[in-house]
Amino acid sequence: MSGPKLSDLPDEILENIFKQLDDYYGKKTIKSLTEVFSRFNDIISGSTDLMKLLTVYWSPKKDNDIGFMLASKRKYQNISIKKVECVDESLLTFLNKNPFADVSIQNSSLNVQELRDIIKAVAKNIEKLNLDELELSSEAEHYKDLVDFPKLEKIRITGIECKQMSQIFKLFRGATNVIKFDYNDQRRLEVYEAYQFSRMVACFDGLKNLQLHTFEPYFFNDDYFAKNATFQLQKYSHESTDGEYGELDFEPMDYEEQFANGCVHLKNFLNRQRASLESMRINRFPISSEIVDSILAMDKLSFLALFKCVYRTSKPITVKNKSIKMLKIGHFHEYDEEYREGQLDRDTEIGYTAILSNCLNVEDLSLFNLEVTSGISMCIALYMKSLESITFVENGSIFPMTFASVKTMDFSVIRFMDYNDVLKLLQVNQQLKVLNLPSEVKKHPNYLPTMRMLNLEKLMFLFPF
Amino acid sequence: MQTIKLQSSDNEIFECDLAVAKCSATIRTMLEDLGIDENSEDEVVPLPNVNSAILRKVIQFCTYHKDDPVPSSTDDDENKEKRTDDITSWDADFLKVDQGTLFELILAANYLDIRSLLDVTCKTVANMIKGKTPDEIRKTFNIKNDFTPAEEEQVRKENTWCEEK
Repeated sequence: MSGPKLSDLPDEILENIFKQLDDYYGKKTIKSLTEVFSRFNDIISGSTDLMKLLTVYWSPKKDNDIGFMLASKRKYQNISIKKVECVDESLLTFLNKNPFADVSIQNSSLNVQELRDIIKAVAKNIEKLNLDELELSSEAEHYKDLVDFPKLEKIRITGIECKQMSQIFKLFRGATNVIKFDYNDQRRLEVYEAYQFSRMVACFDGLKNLQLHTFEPYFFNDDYFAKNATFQLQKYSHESTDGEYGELDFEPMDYEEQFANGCVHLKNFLNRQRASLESMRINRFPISSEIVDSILAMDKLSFLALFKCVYRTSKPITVKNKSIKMLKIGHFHEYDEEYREGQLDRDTEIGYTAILSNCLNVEDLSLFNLEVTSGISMCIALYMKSLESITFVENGSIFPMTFASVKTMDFSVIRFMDYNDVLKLLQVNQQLKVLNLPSEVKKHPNYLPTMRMLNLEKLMFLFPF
Repeated sequence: MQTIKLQSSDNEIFECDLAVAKCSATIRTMLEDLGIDENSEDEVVPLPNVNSAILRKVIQFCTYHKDDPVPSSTDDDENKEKRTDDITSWDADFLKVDQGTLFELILAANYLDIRSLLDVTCKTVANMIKGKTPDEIRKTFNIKNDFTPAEEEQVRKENTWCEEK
């Protein structure tokens, strides 16, 4: 073979070639390349882009001798710390030695100080943080200094069981550059935690994307709240040393006061984020008409999803925000069940009615494709005069409504649907031109009669999942 | 049609369409910065880093692609997904050459600053590497393992802690 060899090419060209190995099999090959030839290893070790394709999985069970990791020439960008139950010097040394931009701590049991040590070690370079299934077990440490996170833009906190959640929230109050915050927890936050939470998020001046899932700081149960609030008052007055706790009144309140108090905090927070938020998703949060007004008045908001939120209002809500391009309001299955069992209170029912009346103004939205998640979002779609396409994305009630402007319907991504309801819907939408269905629908006795009623230009069949 | 003369490292002169030559950012810069008169029949642009065999191939590539749209600045986005399976059949046939020629084309594309040629040649090499073990890569590209046993052990042990993201 004549001419240059691969190993003769300059570093910048080799790096360019290796950067093409960006897909699944390519990334696996990056590790192989490091073992081929010392210069390949040097190029990959020194390339920020290439090191982003690898993740270090730091787990104590792997190897007790971690000297080779501390001696590494590589500048790792991503680390996933798993099943760690204590933080030793080697981990902190390793964290300090590498410019970690993406840090994930999963399935670990740490005390607050250990978490703080990890976070401080990576604070200078971290851009993205994921805390998942973390158990914080020790007493709180009361620290005054604010940790600075100059590059941190994305935080995701999921499934954390801890006694000191408010300490986590305090830790990130110096993260002023956060643009995306995703909080997903399967438990109720206690009142004081919720307070710290809202203070932390309020520090995110440039926040653009906020997602709150299962966040119920002000739960609607008088007895629960009253007992809990009293408990909180006693607990935190006892433990408090930094004087912050006096800012909240933890006296037990009645039902209406609780709701009003919870809404005030959220409304204040939303008003502070009004200029920057572009995308927001809120799950399971009690919201009033004032809060919906605050959300819809956000100048840049283009994506809004409100799922399983409890609306307590009798005031019709008007959508005036022309910047919203995608609106999702849905997941009311629980509502249906509660309603059937007669457990739904009158106020909540009025709230849903208010949302429906809100639909009257939805036609102003610049929305051409709606993802339908439930019967109620079908009702919303009914009022959208320019809607061209509907994609059904969740299982839910499908009603036989006529959507005059809609030319495309897509049912291909839901499974276990009631084909009878689907076919009834198609029968009253004979203007449809494009249809995407799961192939099982062909077995339904009404399938062929329904198809004969339609004048489709394109019919597609897909197996659901 | 305006033409220009390009001189390879082995002194062969190639007369080609000016639009084709201007696929190279290096040649465009030379014409502008060195004040070479595009209309002069005597002016020759010297390309001392490209031999005649490779320059012929480069001109063939640029002639075929001269009307391609120029990549927009958004295509530089580092977050853009890279693909190595989007090589056209013409490019794939064009690059059915021995490894030495392929690497010389890469060096020429880099020197002449022809991004489309550099991209497609680098993707071609990446496809030759993808999915191979270290031994297979060494064998394919005739590379000698230069690691000391200690270095090899270090890299191998480090890799057991890493997974592709």
